[in-house]
Amino acid sequence: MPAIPVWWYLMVATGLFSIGLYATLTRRNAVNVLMGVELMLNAVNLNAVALWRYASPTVSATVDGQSVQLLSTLDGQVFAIFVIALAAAEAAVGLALIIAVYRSRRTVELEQLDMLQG
Amino acid sequence: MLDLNVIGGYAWLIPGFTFAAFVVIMAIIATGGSGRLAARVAVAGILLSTLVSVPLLLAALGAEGGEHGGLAAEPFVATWWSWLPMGEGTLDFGALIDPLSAATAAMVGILCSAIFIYATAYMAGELEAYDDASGAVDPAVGNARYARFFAYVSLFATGMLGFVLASNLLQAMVFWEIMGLCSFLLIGFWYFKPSAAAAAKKAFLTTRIGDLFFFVGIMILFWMHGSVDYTTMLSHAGIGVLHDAAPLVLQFGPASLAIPMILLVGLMIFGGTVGKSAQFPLHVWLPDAMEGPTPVSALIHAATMVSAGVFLVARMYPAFAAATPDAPGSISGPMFVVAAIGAITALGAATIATTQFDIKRVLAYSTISQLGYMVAALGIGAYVAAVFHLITHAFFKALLFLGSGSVIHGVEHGMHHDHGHGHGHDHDAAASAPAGGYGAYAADPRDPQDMRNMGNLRERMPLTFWTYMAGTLALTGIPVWAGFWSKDEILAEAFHKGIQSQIVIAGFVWLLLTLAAFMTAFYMARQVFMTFFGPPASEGARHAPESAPAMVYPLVVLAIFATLLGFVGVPEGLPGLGPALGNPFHHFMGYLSTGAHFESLEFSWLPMLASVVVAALGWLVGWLIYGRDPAAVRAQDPLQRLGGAWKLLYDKYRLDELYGLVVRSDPRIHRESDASEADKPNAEQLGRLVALVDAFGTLNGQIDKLVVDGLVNLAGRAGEVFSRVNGWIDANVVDALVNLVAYVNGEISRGLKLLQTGRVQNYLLVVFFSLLILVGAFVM
Repeated sequence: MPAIPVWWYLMVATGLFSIGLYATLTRRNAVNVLMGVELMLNAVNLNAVALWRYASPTVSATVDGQSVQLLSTLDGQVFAIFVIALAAAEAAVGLALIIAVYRSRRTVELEQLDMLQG
Repeated sequence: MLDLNVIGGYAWLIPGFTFAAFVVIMAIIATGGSGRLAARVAVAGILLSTLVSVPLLLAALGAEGGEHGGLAAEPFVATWWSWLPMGEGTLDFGALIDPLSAATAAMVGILCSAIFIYATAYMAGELEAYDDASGAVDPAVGNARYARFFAYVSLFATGMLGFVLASNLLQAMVFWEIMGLCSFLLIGFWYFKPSAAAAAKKAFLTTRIGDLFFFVGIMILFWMHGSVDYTTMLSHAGIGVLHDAAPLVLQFGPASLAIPMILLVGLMIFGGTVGKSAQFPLHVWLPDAMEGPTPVSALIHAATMVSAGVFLVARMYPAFAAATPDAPGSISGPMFVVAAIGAITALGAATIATTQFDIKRVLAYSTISQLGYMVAALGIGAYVAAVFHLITHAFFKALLFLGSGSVIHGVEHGMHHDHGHGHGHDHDAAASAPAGGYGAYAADPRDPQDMRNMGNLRERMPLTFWTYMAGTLALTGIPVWAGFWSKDEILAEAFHKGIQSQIVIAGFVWLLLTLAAFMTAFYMARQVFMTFFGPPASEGARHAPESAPAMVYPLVVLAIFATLLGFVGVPEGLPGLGPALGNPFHHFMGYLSTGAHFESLEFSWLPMLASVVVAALGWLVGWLIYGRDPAAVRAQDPLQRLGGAWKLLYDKYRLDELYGLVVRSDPRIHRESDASEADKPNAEQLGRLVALVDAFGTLNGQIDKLVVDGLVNLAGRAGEVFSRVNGWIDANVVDALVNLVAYVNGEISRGLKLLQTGRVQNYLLVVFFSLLILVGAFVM
C-alpha cells in the first residue's frame, strides 16, 4: 500500500474540481470557461487514477524469485487516457466554436450570447 | 343461280345506296340546288338498293340446305363494321341474311321504289310553295322543301333496310330509332300546321314509351348472353341459356313474385312492338300520323315502319316460343300477351274504321287492325302466316294509301279547278278545319280527304279506281287476291289451334279475327261506295282529273303485286291450285334459327269457307247500307242512328280523352268534346268526371296542407329548437373547456419561460444544484 492515504488525492481532486467549476460558472470569457472545464476533467482523472490505485484488487505473483503483489486491472489508467483524449478533442471543438462565435458576434462574452432566451 | 355468299357480301350496299342518296340530297339542299334533282337522286338510290335486295332474295331462295332449316339455322352473316369492343365480344354493324330478312328487304326495296316514284309527282305541289313572309310563290323555298322530303324518305329507307338486315339487336335498335326520327320529321313535314306538329310529337313520344321497354329488353339479353347478336341469342344453345336463367324475383314486403327471364325479355321486346306497330294501347299515334304527306302514310305508316314491330317479334320468335311450358299445345306467357293484344287491336281498330269519314283515317285504322292480325298470328304460333301477311299487307296497304293519295290529289285539283286559286301550300291541309265549325259530324266542303265530298270518282279516275279495287279486294280477303291467302292462313291456324287443339287463346283469336274480317269487308265496302260510286258530292269530285303517270304507274305495279303475290303461299292441301303451286313461301320461311320447322297445316275447308263467307257478308252488308244510295249516305251516315255506340266508335273509344285526362296536358281535349250540341251529354259526363277528379284533388290538397305539411313543419320546428340548444352548449361548454386547457397551458408556459435565460452558465448552475440535491437525497 502506498504511504500517502487516498483521501489526500481526493482532497486535491475536489479542490481542483471546485476551482474548475467556479471558473466555469463565473468567468465571462468563453475561453476561461473552457479552461475551467479542463480543470474539472483533470480533477476527475486524478480521482479515477487514485481510486484505481487504492481500490483495485491485487494478486500474488513471483518475479525473479521474489513474491510481489500486483494490481489485477488497468481500469483507472485506461479511463484517464480516454478522458485526456476526449478533453483534447473537446478543447479543439470548443475553441473552434469560440472562434466561429467571435467571427459572427464579435464577442466571446457569454453574458451577451443569450439569443436562446425564452 | 345466284350465290348468296357473293351477293350477301354486298348487302351493305342496300342501306348504303339510300344513305348516300340522303347525304347527296342534304348537299343539294345546302347548296340551294334543284328539288327535281334531289328527287332523281332519291329514286336512283332506292332503285340501286332494290337492284341489290331483290337478287339477294333470289340468292336466298336458291341457297342450299332449305330442307333442314339450313338458311334459317345457318344464315349468311356479314360484319360491316366493328363498332364497339365490349366485354368478351364486340358490338358490330352487320347483316344477317335469312329467309325473313331477305324477303322483307326485297319487299321494302320494291315498295320504296314505287312510293318514291309516286312521291315525285305527288309532292310536286311543294315546288310552288309560298314563302311564309311574302305570300308569293318562292322557288327557293319550294325546292328546299321538295328536296327535304326526299332527304327524309331516303334516310327512312336506310333505317328500314338497316333494321331488317341487322345482325344484332342493338344495330336493329339504332336503325329502328332512325326510322322513328324520320317518322317524326315526315309526320311534321308541314310543321306550320299546328295539327301536324302536334301529331309528330304525339307519334314520337308514344312510340318512345315502347322503345324504352325494347331497350330494357336488349339490356337484359345482353346481360344474359354477353352479346346481342341474333346468331348467339337465337341459336338452340342461346335459347337454352335464356330458358334456364334464374327468374327475377320482385319483393313486395312479405310477398314475392318470380318472373321468368324469358317471359320478362319477351314482354319487354314486345313493348317495342306495341309502340312501333301501333298496337293497343299505344296505337293512338298512328291515325294522327296521317297528318303527314300521303306517300309517307303509305311508306312509313302502312307498309314498312309499322310492320317493323311485327318483324321484330318474328325475328325474336324463337325466344317467344321457347317460353312455352312443357305441356304440348299450350301457349306461353309472352305469346299469350302477344296473341291477346293482337286480337284486341285487330277487332278494336276495325270497329273504329267503320265510323271514320277521312279516307286516310279509315285506312289508318285498317292498318292498325291488320297489324293486329299479324301480331295475333305470331302470338298463336302462326309464324309463317304472320310473315306472309306482313308482306302481302305491305303491298296492298301501300297500294290503298297511294290510291287514296291519288284520290285526294284529284279532288283537290278539282276544287282548285272550281275556285281557280293556287295550290300547294294547303295540300292535305284543309283536314285541320276547326272541330265543330261545320255543325255536328257534317263534312267540311273544303276537305279533300273527307269521303263525303267524293263520289263518282270511278268515272273521273278509272285507273285509280281499278287499282284501288285490287287493293280493296286483297284487304277484304276476297279470293284470289293476295290478302285472302295470307289472312286465310292466319285464320286457319287460329281455327286449327283453337278448335282442334283446344287452346283457349287461339280460339279467342280466331273469333275476334273473324269478326274483324267481317268489319274489314264492311268498312272497305263503305269506303269504296262513298268514294267512287254515286253522283259527285262536291265540285272537287265533279272536276277531279286522273293523276299524273308517275302516280298511276306505281299503282298499277302494286296492284299486280296485290293481285298475284298471294299465289306464293297457297296451302298445299287446296285441291287443284295447292299441289300445282306447291306453297314455296312456306317451304322458304317455315324454319327457325333453332332448327325448328313449321309443319304445313292440314288443309281444312271450314276456316277457308268461313273467312270467305264472312268477307262476302261484310261486302253484302256494306252494299246494303252504303251501296244502294251513296248520295244519301254521304249526307247522313246510316250508322249514326245507332247513337251512343256510333259516337263511341267515332271518338275512337275516347282513348285520347282518357290519356288526356290522365296526363292532363291538353285542355283542348275538354273543349273539343263539348264543342257541339250532339256531344253535350258526353261533355257533361266528362265534366262530372273532371269535377270528381277535381274534388278528390282538392280534398287531397287539404289533407296535404293540414296534416302532412303540419307534421313536416312540426318536425322542422323541433329540429330548429334542438339545434339552438345544441349550439349554445357547444359555444359555452365545450368551447369553454377547450379554451380553458389552452389558457392554463399558456399561463404555465409564461412562468416557465423565465427559466430559459439563454445564458449557458445559468443552465449549468441549475444542473449543478440539481445534482447536489439529487445526490443529497440519495445519500440521505
